[in-house]
Amino acid sequence: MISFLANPHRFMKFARFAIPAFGVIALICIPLGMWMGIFNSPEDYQQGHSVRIFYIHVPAAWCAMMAYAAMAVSSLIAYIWRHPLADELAYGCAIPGCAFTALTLITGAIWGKTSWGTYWQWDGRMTSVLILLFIYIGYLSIWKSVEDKRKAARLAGLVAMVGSINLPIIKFSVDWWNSLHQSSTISSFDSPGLDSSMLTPLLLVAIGYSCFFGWLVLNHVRTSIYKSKHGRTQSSSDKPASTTHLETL
Amino acid sequence: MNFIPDFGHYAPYVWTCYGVSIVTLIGLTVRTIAQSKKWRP
Repeated sequence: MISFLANPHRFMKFARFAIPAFGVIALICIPLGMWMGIFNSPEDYQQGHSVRIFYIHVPAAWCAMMAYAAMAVSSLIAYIWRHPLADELAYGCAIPGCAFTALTLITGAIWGKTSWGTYWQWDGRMTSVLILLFIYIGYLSIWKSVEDKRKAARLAGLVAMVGSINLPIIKFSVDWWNSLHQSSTISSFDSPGLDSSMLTPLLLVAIGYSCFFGWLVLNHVRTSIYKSKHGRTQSSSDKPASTTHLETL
Repeated sequence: MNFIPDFGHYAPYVWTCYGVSIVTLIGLTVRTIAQSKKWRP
């Protein structure tokens, strides 16, 4: 699959149907899940209506971690096979990943205020997610600040791979250290620990966010291929060439 | 079912979270579409 999509022509063929498919699923699932979270799910017996924040906070956190894992794997692939499309894929994961991490922290802080009476606590879960945000910002800063895009991709890829050590820390932080943050609500799909009236909006938003993330990433890679083609066309007609990372393709 | 449900004293917290989420999603969408339109041949 990876080697199949590494070819830009095959990638463009795949993107032609995958981008609209992801877009449509996200467009259906996110509003439906949010609507169910607001109108069609019960109040929690302990947390009251503040439990509705759960339906957007948890999927955002899942997506932030999924984006980071995808970014780290793409960087590893780029490191091993030196394919610039993998670097663009990694960069494409970083922007939505950073946004989802910020969203996780903001919604988590607001939910924390209603549940714990404080916006912030320096415990394992919250601090490790904040570190994830800093790693994303660092990764994006390297891409923006280093002019030679091949060098930027190598440096940023290294940061992404080293930073992936943070993912298991985030996942197990609530088990390793005492925390205000609750442990995983859904440990298995056989016995999720949630009533279906709460599980359905949660899963709908999670599927919607994941497809939205896929839509963003595929669009980014497709745009970078357009950019490289544009750069080649300009340089062949003796106009100043744009220096894109994919010109080697 | 009211058009705007009453979440009591949790209302500002819940609506802020949903508002921030929707703004973030719209922001990412607009940025992506703008970039795609700019470079699409």
